[in-house]
Amino acid sequence: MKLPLETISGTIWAGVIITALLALLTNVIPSGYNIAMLVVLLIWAGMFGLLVKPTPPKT
Amino acid sequence: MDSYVLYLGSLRWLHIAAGVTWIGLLYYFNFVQAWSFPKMEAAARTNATQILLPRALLWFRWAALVTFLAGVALLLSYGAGRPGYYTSTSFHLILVGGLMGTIMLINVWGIIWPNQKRIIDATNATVTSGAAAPPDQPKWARRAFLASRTNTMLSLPMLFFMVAAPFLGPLAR
Repeated sequence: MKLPLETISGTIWAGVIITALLALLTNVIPSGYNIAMLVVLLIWAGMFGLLVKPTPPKT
Repeated sequence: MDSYVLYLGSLRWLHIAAGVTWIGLLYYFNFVQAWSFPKMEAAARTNATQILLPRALLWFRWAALVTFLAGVALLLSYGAGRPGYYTSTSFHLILVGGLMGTIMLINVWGIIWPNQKRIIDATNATVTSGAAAPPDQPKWARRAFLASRTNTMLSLPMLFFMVAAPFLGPLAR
């Protein structure tokens, strides 16, 4: 399966969705910024999961 | 003019000028170079890797560091002059953006630059001594690519929390 990060449009969409999610978290939930920071750290951890086995996409 | 205001203004200017350089080059790498390189002839790509890439990466990584340092100094200096700032919503929103900026800096210096440097060194060795490309080169390129794309993705929420969020009414409650 192709990652959203493989394409420019997928990367931008992912960024926009994360922006909306984090904006919602910080606005709706009291102390939501803590959860927002946790989400950011989880995204970063996910990146390391990809780096461990950096298989190039099949063309 | 109050020297403290001038100091804060200068820090903010430096933070934004370096940030524009950093993120501008990040977008160049992702929106222009990553698309163009596979379509270029091998000789042209080698030439760009030897001449263009090291220069772009030099400005890229140092602009990232200056952005970070100026941002930290600005945050500490701004808060020091405003009692209660570090418990305010405005600070917490900046903190979320700051976390993303910090992660992006670590990606630049810890993943993107070391892997790109290996690629540049390998390309130089191939050109000067005819050495074969190392078998790990695709892995280096892939790692740099994934970290760079992660940074591009994170740059959008980072800019939102750094620039837009403090000025939005409900968010800045």
